[in-house]
Amino acid sequence: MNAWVRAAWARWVAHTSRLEDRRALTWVRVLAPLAIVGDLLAMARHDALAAVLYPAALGGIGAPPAPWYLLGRWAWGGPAVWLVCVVCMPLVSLGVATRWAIVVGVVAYAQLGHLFTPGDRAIDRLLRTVLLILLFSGVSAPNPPARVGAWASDLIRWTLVLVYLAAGVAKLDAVANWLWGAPPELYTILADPLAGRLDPGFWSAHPAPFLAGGWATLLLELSAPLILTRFAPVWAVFGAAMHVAIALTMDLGMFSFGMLSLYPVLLAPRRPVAALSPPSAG
Amino acid sequence: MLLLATPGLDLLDAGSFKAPEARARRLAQPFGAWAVAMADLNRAVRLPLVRGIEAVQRPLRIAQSWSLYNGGPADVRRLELVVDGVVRYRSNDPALTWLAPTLRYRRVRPMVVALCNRRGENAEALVAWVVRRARRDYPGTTEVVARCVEAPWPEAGQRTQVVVQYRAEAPGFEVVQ
Repeated sequence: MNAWVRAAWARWVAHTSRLEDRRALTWVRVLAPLAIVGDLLAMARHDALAAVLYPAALGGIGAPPAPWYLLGRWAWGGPAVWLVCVVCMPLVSLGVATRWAIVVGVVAYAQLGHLFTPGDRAIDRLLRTVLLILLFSGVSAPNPPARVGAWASDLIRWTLVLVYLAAGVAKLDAVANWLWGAPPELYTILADPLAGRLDPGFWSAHPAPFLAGGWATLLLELSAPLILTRFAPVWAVFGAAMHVAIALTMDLGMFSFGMLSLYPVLLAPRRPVAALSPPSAG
Repeated sequence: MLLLATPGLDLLDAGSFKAPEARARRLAQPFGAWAVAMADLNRAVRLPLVRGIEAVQRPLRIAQSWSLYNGGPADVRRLELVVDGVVRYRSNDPALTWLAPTLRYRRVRPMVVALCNRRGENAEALVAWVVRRARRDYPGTTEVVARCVEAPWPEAGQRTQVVVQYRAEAPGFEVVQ
């Protein structure tokens, strides 16, 4: 028993100590903050800066902030955290004072979420989580080595498995509507005027693409564990296609771009997971 | 992360399938025994552990809960904004786009959805903001109505009904439902 535990621990240490080419993780470090900056600048383009960042007296919607929002006494708190995010995120992408930029940027980004809680969505939480993973990764070091610990990529992959698998499992309650419903569940999502762009009247006469999309979506999400295998790049191609389709058919803002910013770790070639290999004799 | 975001279990709460009636109802459905067993496991094992560590998520808003778009709405819903009897905005209507960029922006859109779903304490705050914008963009405004209308799919040829409505009138423009 002791020998088995020691052997298992040794394999775990070897697995988590693996090094990998830094380029895939570097691309995530470049792209994820850019998705955040793009969204923050879109706030201005959508004439939503005042609505989101200011109290009601100054033109904001004035949704009550969460208790963790620290700048409630100052009307300029919202614009300040917005500006800090807009400054820090490009620094992370450029690799300038990376770790400090991540720490300050994530805190400011979280404060933005506390300020306007209805607008802080799953993609925001996911990107903050990824930035915290990158904080401790070798790709955020001042002079990153050519090979960095693979644990960061592993964690990001695990997170994506949880995200997609949870999304797929959550759909099982209405699986019949996804696969052969009338109207198809995917149609009601993409033609919902509150979020989608499709005309419900026109597309009601064409259910086939939505039924096919429903099958594809469920298959993709429930097969998310493939992300942990050598089939990850193939899975990623279909995942990317789904996110491009979402970007074209729905007004979800940076959601698709944020998700795609994590895909470099899926596309990088990797060896089969060492821990699954049979232990060597002796 | 596995504990906080266990796929499927993170949709259950401490009361899921606990009451005898709810339990019996679920047991009578397909995979009922499995669902009830998972709810019991969640309640007895997972949730106590989650409560111990979930507090670390709050300051940095990194809650690991990923139930993304499990389904669409049961009916077609649209938000309509009416200023002095004239419809100025209607969801996804290219002819009525007043405030559309802001209302469709991803951080504001959930408030519109919550208003139409008749939930969320922020509905009145959103409507009050619409009123302030109406008074700025249409000087002399005396009445602003924000209403959510519903129709069965596919909407065309179907009867539309108002499911929630807020109104603000001069001189005070207090928002009332």
